[in-house]
Amino acid sequence: MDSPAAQPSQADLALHDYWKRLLKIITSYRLAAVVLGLLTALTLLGTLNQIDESIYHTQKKYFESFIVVDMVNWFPVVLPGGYLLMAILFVNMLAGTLIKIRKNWKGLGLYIAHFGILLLIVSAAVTKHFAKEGNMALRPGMEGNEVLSFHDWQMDIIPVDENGKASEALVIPFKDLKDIGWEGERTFTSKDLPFDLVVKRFAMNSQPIPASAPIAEQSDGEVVDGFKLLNKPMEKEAERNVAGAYVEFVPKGEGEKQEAIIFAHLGGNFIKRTPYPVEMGGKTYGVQLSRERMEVPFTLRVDEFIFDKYAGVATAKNYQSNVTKIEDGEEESVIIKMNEPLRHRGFTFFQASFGPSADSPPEELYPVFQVVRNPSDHWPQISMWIVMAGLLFHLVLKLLQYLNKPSRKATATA
Amino acid sequence: MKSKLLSLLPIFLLTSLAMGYEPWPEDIVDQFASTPVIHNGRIKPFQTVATDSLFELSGRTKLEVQAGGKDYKLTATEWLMDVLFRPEYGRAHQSFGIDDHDVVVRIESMMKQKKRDRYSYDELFLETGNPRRKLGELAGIYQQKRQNEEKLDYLEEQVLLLAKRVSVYEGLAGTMVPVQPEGNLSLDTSLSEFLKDIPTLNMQQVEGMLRAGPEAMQAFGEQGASFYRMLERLYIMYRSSDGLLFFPPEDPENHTWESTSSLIEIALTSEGEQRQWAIDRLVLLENVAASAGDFDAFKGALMEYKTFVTNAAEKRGELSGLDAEMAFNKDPFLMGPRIMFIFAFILVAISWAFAFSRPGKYLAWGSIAMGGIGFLLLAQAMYYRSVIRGWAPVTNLYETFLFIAAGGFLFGVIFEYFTKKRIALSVGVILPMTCLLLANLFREANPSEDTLPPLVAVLRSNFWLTTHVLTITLGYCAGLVGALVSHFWIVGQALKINLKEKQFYKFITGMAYGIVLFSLLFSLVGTVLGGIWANYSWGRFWGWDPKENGALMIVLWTLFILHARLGGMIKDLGLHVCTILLGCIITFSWFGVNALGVGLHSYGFLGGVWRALFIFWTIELVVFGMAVWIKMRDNPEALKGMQGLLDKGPKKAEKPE
Repeated sequence: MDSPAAQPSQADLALHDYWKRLLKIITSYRLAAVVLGLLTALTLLGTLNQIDESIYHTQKKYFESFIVVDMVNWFPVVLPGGYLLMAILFVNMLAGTLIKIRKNWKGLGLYIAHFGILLLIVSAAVTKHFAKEGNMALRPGMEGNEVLSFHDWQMDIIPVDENGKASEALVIPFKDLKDIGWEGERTFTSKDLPFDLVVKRFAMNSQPIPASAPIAEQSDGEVVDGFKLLNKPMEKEAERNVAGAYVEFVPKGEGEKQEAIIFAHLGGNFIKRTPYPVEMGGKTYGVQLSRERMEVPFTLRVDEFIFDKYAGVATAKNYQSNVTKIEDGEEESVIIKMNEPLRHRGFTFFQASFGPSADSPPEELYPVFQVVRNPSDHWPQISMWIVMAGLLFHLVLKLLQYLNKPSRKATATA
Repeated sequence: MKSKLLSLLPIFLLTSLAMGYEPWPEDIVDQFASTPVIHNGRIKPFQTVATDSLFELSGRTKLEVQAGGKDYKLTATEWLMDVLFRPEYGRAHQSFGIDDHDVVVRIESMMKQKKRDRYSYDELFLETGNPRRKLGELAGIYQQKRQNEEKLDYLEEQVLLLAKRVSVYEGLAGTMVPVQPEGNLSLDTSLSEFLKDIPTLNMQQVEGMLRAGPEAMQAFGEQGASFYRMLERLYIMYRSSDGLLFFPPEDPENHTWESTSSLIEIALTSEGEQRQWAIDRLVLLENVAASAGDFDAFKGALMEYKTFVTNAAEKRGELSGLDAEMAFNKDPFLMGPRIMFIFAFILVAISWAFAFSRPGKYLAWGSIAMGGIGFLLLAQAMYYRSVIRGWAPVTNLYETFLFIAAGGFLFGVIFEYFTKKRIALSVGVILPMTCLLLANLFREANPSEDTLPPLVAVLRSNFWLTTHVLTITLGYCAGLVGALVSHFWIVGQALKINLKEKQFYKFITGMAYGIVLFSLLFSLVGTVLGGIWANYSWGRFWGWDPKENGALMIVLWTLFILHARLGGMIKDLGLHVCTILLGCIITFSWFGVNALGVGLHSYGFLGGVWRALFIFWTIELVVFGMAVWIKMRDNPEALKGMQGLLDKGPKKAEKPE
């Protein structure tokens, strides 16, 4: 095989042929067209699905999935999911662009445009896998650096000393909880704890119910302290889900194991949580499920929240938070308002909402920031400039070609 | 509360119109029309308040009046002047349009025996048993039903509609009640006189006194009971006369003007200079109201009030849009451009009969001229709309229709210049005509929708409004132009028009393909820009919101067309079918998704949308039927095994023009 003169064997030829054919399919316009057509259909169905289901679930089911199996009215739908289609499109586009597009200045515009779109898909993937988001609510005068997740939960085990003072909690992150499910269980152990913690029956949306209540029959969970946990279907607004789980505290040494139902509280930063108390090995611990938290490497203080309405009507004119950013002892005044977020050290703070409710007196209102950490924050912008440059170049080129075509001149003057 | 307010006025059992009607002198109407006021969150001339309100109440902009055996036709401004300053006429005007007489029966009005299209306030509500209260109760029940997401039947919807209209009317009429001679506190004194001498009270104190009842007013001696009554009336006035904001406030930073209601509050809760400040303003209004019977005196009082407000507002720099609005109000429903484009369409349609002969050419030029005038009128109106609020020309769904109309004409004329086949021209007048007709249709179907509302916080960015909104709307526009061009190909082929002219049909295909490319550029860039804007305001580039999805579908389908053509999956017929499908997708994304009632972009203006869409899609189904027929006629083999689509062999890619 080393010698260029050597003849390839029959098998090599077949293999070569096989690869060639595969490459041909991968780079084909037809594959692109089929994927684009399916994506159009998927987008339509994913839009109509939002009439009945939350955007969060639609997104999971249609756009972030590998395969979609659903009923639209009575019509069964089986389609490749958005994630899979995007991945195929990416490969098809990358290979197709490299191989198919003419490698001269006539193809330049298309080259540029396709790479712009590739960057856009990459940035979508980066956002999906690496972006973190949550919210931060602060009353005027309050400081904070903790961001609460919208949908994810964590379990905290908080050691409490004899004076009732809590020290730093041990945290079970969401990624270790979410796949336990209603039927599964997982044991967590730590050298700092006198017990092993068994989490079983983890429900994303749940409700504790007195075992005597008729509705308790709907739950196949065990009765603990006269209560059962009901595993409920997900809410239409995903933020309203309340996670819950059965847990067991199994002592490492002597002693009886203890059982409990732990369930989360809805509510933002201002809700005082009451963790479930456990005594074991002569020590007290509080256990709770809470919104997963993320820390920002600096502190924000809300100085003032302004909510302007138009004269005499309820239409909002302006939401604005005057805040102070505190970092290494240095203070800086910043304004966060609609369309003008604060971007700092990879985090972006958006004026997203306010509380407690729209008809509260203005002095009680407080801002709620959406906080996002997204490494590909600005990539779509870059990709748009690339695509625009490429398409414009190509279109102008086509137009010039068209105008210089002899046949057109003939028909135009005829 | 507002319904209570009007009951403070004396009741004329025989409606005053029976005795005759005295129209307002023209010069007074003109002066009043251009007086600035704040209504629905924005400074505007009274003329706009009048037109919008009468349109909302009755679906019309003029009012016919029969009085003393004569017929009068009132402009909206004259109507509003009656509502505000001559309430006995205002209540006798048949201002309320009611489509279904059963509504009148259900609220137990005395008019239940008389079936009509329009009723006056007095006709509806002058009745023992109180039909006004009945309407309020029913509206409350139905509103609750709606909040519980229960479905309302047609009649219930109509009752709610009437309740809304009545509250609009009462909101307007109520603003003047406190300063009207008949509406005063039933004393010898006017409101301003009364407020001069009253002790300083805050609103909580007033509410407390009213809750305590007249017995608690002993401290005021014999006057106690009458003081209680006055306070009660004053409180009703205070609570319900904030529909119009008449005067700029004292604080230069504050943009909320003062209503009669807030002036009452200021006078009541303050003393000395500040109280006088409020009373001075109330006196201006009182003078206007008191002189309504004497036109000369009225004009004097009106001018005094108008000059005062205009000067104060100008000093604050708040009247920048007023002149533009008066100019815009000459044709606020865009009748001019609509008619010009209809003429342009008729001319170009006739020109087809003459093909490319000389008369045909003249007709085509005539069509361009008519369309051009229509375009200029439309552009002028859009310019005014933009100046009125100081925002880019497209901020809501209604305005997209105007923009696509204007853009469609420009696209058409530019393509016509290059192609000279009259197809682009035809499309360039059909699209604007359809858009303007639809805009009007939707406006009539949603009479309560303000097409120039104050802009919600997130939209307040001219940078994004011009970049994202205009680009994406141009994308819609180009795609629709392309879809229309494809109709020419399919209909021409189906009807076997000039089938021998292969070059001609090939040319249309090239044109459609080129326009699809344009549509892609604008839709793609516009969609990504929308994402970037979303990333600035909400922190996420993409959220699979229905409107975002709609835009994405356009982009994906356009890309599908291009790649399917490159891959040889579709040829000429297929391309045109796909382009027409693109048109269907665009209409869905443009206003269909808004009507789904979910997502961030689902704003009002929805009545009639689905009907229009289904009519359009049904027509397009017929066109698709034609396409299938063409396919069967020209290539009977192709349909047998759908070989055209499933043929696995590599096809020679057709090079697009």
